[in-house]
Amino acid sequence: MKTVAFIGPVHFVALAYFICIIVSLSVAWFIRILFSGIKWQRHIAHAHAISQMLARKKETLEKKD
Amino acid sequence: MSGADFLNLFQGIATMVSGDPLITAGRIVLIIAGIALVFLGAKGTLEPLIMIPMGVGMASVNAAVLYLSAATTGTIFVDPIVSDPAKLLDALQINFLQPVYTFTFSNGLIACLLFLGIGVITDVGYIMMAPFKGMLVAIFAELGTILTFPLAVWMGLTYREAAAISVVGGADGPMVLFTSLILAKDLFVPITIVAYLYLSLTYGGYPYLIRLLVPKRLRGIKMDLKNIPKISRNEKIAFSIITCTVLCLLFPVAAPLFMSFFLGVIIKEAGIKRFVEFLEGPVLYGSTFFLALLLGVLCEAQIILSPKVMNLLLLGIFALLLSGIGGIIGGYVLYFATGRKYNPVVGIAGVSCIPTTAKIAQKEIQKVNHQAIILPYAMGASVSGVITTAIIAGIFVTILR
Repeated sequence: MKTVAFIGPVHFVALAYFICIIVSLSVAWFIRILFSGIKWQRHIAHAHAISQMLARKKETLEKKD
Repeated sequence: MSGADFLNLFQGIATMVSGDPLITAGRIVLIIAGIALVFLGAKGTLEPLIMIPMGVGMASVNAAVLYLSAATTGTIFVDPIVSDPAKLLDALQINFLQPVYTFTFSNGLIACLLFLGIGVITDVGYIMMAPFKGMLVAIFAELGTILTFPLAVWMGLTYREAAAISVVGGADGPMVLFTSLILAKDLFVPITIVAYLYLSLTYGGYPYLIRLLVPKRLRGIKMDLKNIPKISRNEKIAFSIITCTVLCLLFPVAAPLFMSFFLGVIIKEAGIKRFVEFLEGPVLYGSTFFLALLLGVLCEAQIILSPKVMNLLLLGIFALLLSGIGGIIGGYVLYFATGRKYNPVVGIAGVSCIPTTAKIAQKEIQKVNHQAIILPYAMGASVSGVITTAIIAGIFVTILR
């Protein structure tokens, strides 16, 4: 509080606004990361399912041969 | 039987006749204002949920002044400035609203209960579908908060008082209540009254601001609703719990509000039906009712007629007006940044006041273009507004406490 009294109201509020911008955009960025992570996980699960399906097909073809 | 004895039978009138003429005039004005608020609330011009209990409380408390002793006057509604424990015990036994005031209002519990209720009716999916756009608009909509602070300091308020009144620019009632309780306890009654009074006025005033700042052809812009990503309940819960924990870690002073809001969101997303019914019904509406009634009862002439209140009235309207303008500027920035695909009216929803501003934006847009639906984007901006206001209030409280 004492330090704040020295920097003046304009500087103080500019500092507060700057911190607010950083934190708010970090929240937005975090949401993006969360979505990317979830998407990536879905892609991996999808790829895994496809590879398993292909392996099964290959196995049945080999058995037929 | 003398005239004075006769008047003593009707102490409300007696205290008016024998009291300070300024206070008497104030009481009469506040009684009339209370009645006006009830009518405007019932008519739908102002927010009825707040204005009707507040107006009844305001009119009643200013009429019901009596002699507490031979020399002192007061009411048996509530004593907001009692601090001595012995006197508080007396007040709790005499004043009928004192228990509600002492145990929920003066410690900020009512703000947390409101936030729990708001959390339950909020869909964080709206902010998750376009996080940067929502946050950007909300950051612009804090313009009122930012510019009001130095102005308030120049008008003679202390830093703490200036911070408390400038949070009105965030247009979030519980947040103003919480901040003023911590930073400016002596002024929290007038600041909270000013905040809620003006928040109800946004309902009637912001549509004119939109029409003034956004030309008709831009108001009708349709926004893309086809590419909105679907967000699962688990994603919403993950976002809520992590954001809540991080914000509590950054601003522990505002943690009760963060926790209440996100707890409400998580309860809703987890589908705990019984809790949802309890929080969105009795808790939200019960808190709103008692908050409004207490605000009305606190509008006693002796409390309201403080020299600082006039300044607070000016600063409050200045903060909300600038936040509205800031939000629309944010809307314009996104309009140009997205190649004229973003409707600038959505910007007004960045002034949180959830969900009023979002509804105002949708209503104004539909007046121009019936097919334009922007509510999901407006709700996203509104939820972002709650978060940015909580962040800025947390910064003020942490630094200035």
